Amino acid sequence: MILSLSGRIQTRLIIIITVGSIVTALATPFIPSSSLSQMGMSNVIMTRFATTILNPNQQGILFVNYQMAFETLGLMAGVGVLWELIYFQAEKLRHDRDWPAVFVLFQVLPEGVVLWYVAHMAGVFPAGTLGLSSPVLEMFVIHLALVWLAIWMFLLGPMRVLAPYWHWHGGQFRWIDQLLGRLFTRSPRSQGTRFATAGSVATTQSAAPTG
Amino acid sequence: MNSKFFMVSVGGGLGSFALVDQLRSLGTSTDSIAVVSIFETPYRRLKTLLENSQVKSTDRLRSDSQARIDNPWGFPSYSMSEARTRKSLAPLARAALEPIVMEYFTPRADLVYRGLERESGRIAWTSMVSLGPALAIRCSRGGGYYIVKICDQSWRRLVSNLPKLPLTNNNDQVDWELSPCMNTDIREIVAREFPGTLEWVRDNLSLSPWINQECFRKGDLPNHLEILESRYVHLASGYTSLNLDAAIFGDSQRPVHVGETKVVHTYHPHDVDLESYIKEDSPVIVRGAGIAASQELNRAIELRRTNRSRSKIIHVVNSGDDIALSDTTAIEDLKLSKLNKLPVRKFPFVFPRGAASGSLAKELTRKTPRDLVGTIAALGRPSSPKRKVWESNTSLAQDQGWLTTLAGTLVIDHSQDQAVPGLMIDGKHDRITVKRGLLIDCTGLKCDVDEDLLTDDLLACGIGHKNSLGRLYVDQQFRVNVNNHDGALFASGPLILGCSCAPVDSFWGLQFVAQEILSQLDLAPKILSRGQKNTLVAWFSWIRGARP
Repeated sequence: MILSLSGRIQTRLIIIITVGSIVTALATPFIPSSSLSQMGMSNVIMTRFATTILNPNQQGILFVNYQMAFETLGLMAGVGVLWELIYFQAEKLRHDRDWPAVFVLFQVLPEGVVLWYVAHMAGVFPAGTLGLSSPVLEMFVIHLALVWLAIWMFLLGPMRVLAPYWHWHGGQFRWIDQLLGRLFTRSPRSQGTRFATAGSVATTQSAAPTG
Repeated sequence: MNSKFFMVSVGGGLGSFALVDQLRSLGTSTDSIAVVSIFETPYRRLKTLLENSQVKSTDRLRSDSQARIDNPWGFPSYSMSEARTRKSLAPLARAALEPIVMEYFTPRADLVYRGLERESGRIAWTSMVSLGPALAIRCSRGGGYYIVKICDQSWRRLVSNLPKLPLTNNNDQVDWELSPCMNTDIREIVAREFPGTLEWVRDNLSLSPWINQECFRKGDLPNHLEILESRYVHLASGYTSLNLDAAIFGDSQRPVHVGETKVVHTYHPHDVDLESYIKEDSPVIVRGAGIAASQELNRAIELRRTNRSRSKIIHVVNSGDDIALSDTTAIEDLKLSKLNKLPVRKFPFVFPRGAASGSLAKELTRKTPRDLVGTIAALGRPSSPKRKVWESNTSLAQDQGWLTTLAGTLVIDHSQDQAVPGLMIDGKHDRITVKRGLLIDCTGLKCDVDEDLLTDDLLACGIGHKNSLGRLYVDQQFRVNVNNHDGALFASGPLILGCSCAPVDSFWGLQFVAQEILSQLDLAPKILSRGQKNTLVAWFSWIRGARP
């Protein structure tokens, strides 16, 4: 199946909120991140902890890691929407007007690089950690790779079982479509109109023939 | 008269299967569904057509891995199943890396048949099949529809005798099992084997969409007819006949001889012919620019190689630039190695993959009917996929000088200096005469709603209408007709080409339309055996192979 533009954006947001969050929640404790505290970044940790009652001990580092991971995830969704606009235009250049799975898999490379910079600009990672020797780079890469792989595999299979409407309607979700349909009068394609109720159809003949 | 069904699907091929499979998966009981078909298995015609056109069980179809006709979820996909049966990761890698690193993954024919067989068993397909062709559909005053058909027992009795009956699509040597039995054949069989039936239908069912139950009072109905009543009807009668070139075949639906040249259609059974003509070094001409032509060419090339034959193989396409020869040349004197290679359109799928869903599909739904028809015709022009094996076979054959692609049309040569008419390839500049050889015409299938018994009647009585492509008109919800009391007549498959879904005859298209239909049905508890199943529960029963 090929995603429509609306489907791309909906899918990106929903999948990151669900699969992305679950993977992040489960994987963050196991991602190597001790380098941050070893590199004398305690000031960062202290700033981060100004809002919490925790002390900068082992659990505190985990908390910081979680915070950084989820903030990255949020940016991945936000910046991702812009990426989807680019992919959507690029898709039009292909004869088949499709976006093969292999593209989705390698999409993460340019997205990762941009995300790395954006995350620094947004202050997710402490200043001065932009270079290749950055203490958070390893954590960032592993986290991103895990999330992306999980999303990719999820979209290739289980998603179609859980959301058949998504599968048949270019990656759109029924409830979002219905919501959008209610907000904007022009309803999206095929909302499963039930016509069995009396009075909904006036004539015996379906419609006039075309041209 | 039988009790009222919830859904009757008329056709019994993959179109019907796609809908019934989804209905059954959700938990609809077998008692509330009927399938009107002339075959007991849903893939009988598909398999016959494929085998005839040289797609043997180990060859690959031209379909997407995820569009899995026996699994409405498309998961596990065909590539996953193939990986499991072959115990190899190669199919998975191919599906994951398509189309950049490797070719698009397409399923093997035997995997498709096996899947369909398993799923038919699971949903108890045969228990829902009511054998016999449908003759007419009328709206009931009380809601729903009546379907007049040849009754099950009469058709069974007929089919058991059919190997002895001459069939239009058959060679003399082959039997009923090899005939695709297209809709035009059904019309002929009904007219021949049940004389008076078509007249009875014409005289007793008025040419109006409506009918009163009194028409079917006991005793009035001929013995070999039966009537099904249903709230919803789904029409998926498929292609009506082979698309035969009248200039060569005339009125015949069977293989013909032009002088000493035998002309067959790719969907006529012709395995024996191909082999024997290759063995005797006669030229083989394949006409067409679609995948069937590529398949035939490849088969001819392989046969020529295994039989160490010296046949010339000529591929003729309608369009493209011709090669300048010196006026009329006999095929025997033609130096193929001196000719240029003519390119043929190469695309992985019939329609661009994005026409099924995604932005291109959305664009199609926004078009006006007139624009839509033009776009669909342009998008679906014949093309053939690039397959490594085929490419290497053809380029080797071209290099060795026994295969070429020419632009031109085929005509029968009645020139006076020849005692018997010969076949002629009429190029833009020059002509090539063929005295003896085999012509395989790969011009596809035809879906002419006037040719089909049932759709012809639907149009006549005003239940259905034609669209601009000459197929059956359906609205955005794939409805042909709505009975305002209660019920609707839906259609899917090649019959409705020209609707907002472009690839209507693909696995994806059939399933897409099926689920669009399903979303409109009123699945009341009484037709469900144990309540409506959640999609996840239904999927798990599919995985376990449990009856829904």
